[in-house]
Amino acid sequence: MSSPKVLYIVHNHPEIRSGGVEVYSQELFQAMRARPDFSACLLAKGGAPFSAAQRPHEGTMISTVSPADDGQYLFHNEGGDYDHFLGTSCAKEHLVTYLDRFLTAVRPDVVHFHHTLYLGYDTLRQVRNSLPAAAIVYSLHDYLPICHRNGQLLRTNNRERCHEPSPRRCHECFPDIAPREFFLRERFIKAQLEHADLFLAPSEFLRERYIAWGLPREKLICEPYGRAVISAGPGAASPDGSRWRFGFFGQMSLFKGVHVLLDAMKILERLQPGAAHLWLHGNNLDLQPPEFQATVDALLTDTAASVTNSGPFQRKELRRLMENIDWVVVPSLWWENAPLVIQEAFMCGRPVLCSDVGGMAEAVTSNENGLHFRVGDAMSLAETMRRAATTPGLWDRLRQQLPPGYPVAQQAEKLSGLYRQLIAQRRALS
Amino acid sequence: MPSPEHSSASTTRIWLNHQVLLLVTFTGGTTRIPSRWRSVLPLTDFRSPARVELLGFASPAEAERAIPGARTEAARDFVMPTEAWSGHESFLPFLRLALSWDIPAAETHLLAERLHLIRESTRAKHPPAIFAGRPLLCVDVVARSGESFVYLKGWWRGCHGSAVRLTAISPEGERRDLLGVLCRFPRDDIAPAYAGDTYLGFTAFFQLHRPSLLRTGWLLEIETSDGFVAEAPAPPVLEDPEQALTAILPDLQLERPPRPRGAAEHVHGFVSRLQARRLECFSLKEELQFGPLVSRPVLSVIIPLYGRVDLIEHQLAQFALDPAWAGCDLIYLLDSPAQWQRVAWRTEWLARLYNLSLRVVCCNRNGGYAAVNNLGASLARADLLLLLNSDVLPSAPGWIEKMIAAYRRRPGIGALGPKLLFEDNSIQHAGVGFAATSDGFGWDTLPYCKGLHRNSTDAAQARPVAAVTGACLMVDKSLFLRVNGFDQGYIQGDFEDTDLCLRLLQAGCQNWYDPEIELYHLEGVSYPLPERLRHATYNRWLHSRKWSAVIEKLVNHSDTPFATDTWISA
Repeated sequence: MSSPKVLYIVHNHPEIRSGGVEVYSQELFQAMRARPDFSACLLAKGGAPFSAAQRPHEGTMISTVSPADDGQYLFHNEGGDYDHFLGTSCAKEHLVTYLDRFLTAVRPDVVHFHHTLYLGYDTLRQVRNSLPAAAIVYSLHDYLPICHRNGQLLRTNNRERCHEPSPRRCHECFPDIAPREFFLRERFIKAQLEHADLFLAPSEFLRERYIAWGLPREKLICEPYGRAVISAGPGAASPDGSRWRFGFFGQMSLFKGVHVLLDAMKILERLQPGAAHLWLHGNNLDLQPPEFQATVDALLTDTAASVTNSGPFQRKELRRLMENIDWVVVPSLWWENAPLVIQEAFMCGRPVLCSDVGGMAEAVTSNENGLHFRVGDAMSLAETMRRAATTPGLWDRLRQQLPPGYPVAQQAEKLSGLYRQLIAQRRALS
Repeated sequence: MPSPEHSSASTTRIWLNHQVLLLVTFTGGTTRIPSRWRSVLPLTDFRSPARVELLGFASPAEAERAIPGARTEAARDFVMPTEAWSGHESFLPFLRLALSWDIPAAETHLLAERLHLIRESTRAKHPPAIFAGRPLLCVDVVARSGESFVYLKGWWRGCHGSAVRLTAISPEGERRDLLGVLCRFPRDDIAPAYAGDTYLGFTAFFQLHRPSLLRTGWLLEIETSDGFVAEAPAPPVLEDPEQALTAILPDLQLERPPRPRGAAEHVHGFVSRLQARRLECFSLKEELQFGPLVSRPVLSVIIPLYGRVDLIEHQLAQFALDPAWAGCDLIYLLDSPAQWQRVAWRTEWLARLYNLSLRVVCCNRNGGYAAVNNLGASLARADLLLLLNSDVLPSAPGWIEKMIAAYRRRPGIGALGPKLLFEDNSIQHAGVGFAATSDGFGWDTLPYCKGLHRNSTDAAQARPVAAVTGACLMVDKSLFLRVNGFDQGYIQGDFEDTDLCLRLLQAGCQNWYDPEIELYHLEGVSYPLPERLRHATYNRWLHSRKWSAVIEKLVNHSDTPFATDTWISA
């Protein structure tokens, strides 16, 4: 018997536009593909809106990613008429015809979804139609199914983190959308997710949120992201032993709390002039709302002496950038899921200062491998940065207690076992 | 057609349009036209002696064949009022005949305009109905359904003695005496503005003998006991049904309580004509089957669609999770035909995505809740019907089997309704009873337990009830047909269901509420509110008019012939 086959379905390909989920799913796919006991295949959404490229060939919506690669495909369904509220593409015929043909030709035993943005949650339904015996795995990378506000679970009126979404409360965030529309949204998405045999949650925090939302506990397991291994040297301390070099990696957005960090730098400049320095490795500031861009620009002007804004970075530069700093700061205002930057910081031997909520607080144990500060509180952050930089021996102690990395090959090993289990379960069912 | 013999010397030919010819023969000679479009009126006072004939032709071409040169003559004529018309109002009714002839709409309209001009040149004009700078007679509303049913509303001022004649004159010149048909009521709202006099409001509903087509030109004449005659112009006719309803439905409240032959009956007369007209041409336009036809279905599910057609996708996504649908005959009926292309296209792919067999039916026009469901029932292939709204969603799979079982295990059942919930788990429906309206002149529906939590013990017991909501109503098809389905006299959306349930009770059945079956009903998503409230006023009135006696018995006596339990009267 030939080895079982897993198909990864992703909302985008890193060759089109690189993002956390795209990179991670690509790494996992490559690790699974390298295994002798599984064959692996990947289907990423092509076409609008991520790619300008239109459907390349008449009569199909499937094309290869590169001529030499027989395991990766693009599905050029048209994303232009995508309904962001319900998470479904209006063009069902693309699923019913072209995706069906692809699935029945490839015949995977497991279909593992990484995101269904621009594909539609009902892609699961089509997979179930086309492959009644296949196991369906769905990785939850964010809270989008739960929260219409880009899955941020951050309320629109006061930036309060949302503990308990409901049609009534969602309507408070979006007064133009009636509560029953949120009810319809939730019921629709759940009806599609019903077809998954297993959900993977990268953090306990996220897992609990989805259980509270109504996904069956037994179908949800916590499975952290496996990552390609990187490492970095320790970097020298200042002559007096203090460690005042801080780094920020990620989106320059409100949700990521970059303004809180800059506020904290302003406070530090007053408290201890000339001591602290921050390297901002942020991207997509240009995509933020103009008023937020203005806020950040003003803060950058105020903190010009102590902040280096170095702009976007490539993952391959990470090692070098990490070696230049002592601490990684994750000041997000939203819950976060399982921030990749925390894993990367740990792999590079950098303790993390983070907000004391959600997926961040779960990934970082305060005073063991990093420090927590009060979420959104610049004063608390400034104080924590000062304490981190000046407490003798703290950096070395925390650094020694960083958790080991979770190499993606190891995750592939674990998932192959899970996949086999699911395949057996589905066979027993049918 | 044989050519008419006529002597141009003795006959004046006047073309009213391309197809209608007026012949005035002064010599008393005869013309022979064996045509069904021929009318003759002897007129002794018209340049005596004279005969007047009205000839109609099926088309301008036929007119040309019968009377060579007709086309050019007609183009020249299209009668304009002249001296000769004056004082000969008596042949206006005769001319109006032509309006009932079978001629194209554009020409009919032209004819109507000519008649209006003739009316204006022949009628006796009276002074405007203004006395001492204040209006004496005023018309608020003229509404017309079709070409002949008219609703009028206005008022006059009590001066110059009492009114001995009140005449409505159509733009085409038909006169209707109103005193015998109108309903009077005090207009206390006007009195303060013009202190000192009494003001009498009136409504009238009547049928014209000949069609009226024009929107403008209605007149009212009043004659008082001391010989004063005056006239008042009327505002443009409301022809659009929804506009007419908006203007007229408030008149239901003119008389408290409504009198037996009062204003409410005029409103009813007019609205029932509007309804009848809406339904006259209502029929199935197109029917599409998607997926393999279900053989010997156990249940036909009938779902009207109106406006929010996106709800199909929500329902199918839920239905697809329940294997019981494999035995169901699912019918969607689109009551807003403008959306048909979109619905047909989308549903085809949705049916494939969700592996469901279903029919979509397009109605040729908006027929309203009752008509659409009746049409659905006539198309149903199963013996059992489930009438379902498009904004009802199951709370979990398995409900269809439960509901069928709940129906089957109750012999003598009429309608069965489940527990319906709002999105916040409060109760939308747990059976329906009746309560006197706040003004005490009618009966409103009383939705039991509405707004209470889903777990409320009050709603936890299955029980017989007076009625259940039509949002999710199971009924045996032959029973439904035996009681003639829904009454199509209601304006869509409210009270049709209780009306049906009351007829089921009368037929000796019991209606049941069963909380074992739970669904969500996002009430109102499929029917916009302001329109609904307006229509509900009428429906409530109609329902009370029809059922007051029965409802009183139901509410006041627990030992009614209807097998409803004491819970209803509690």
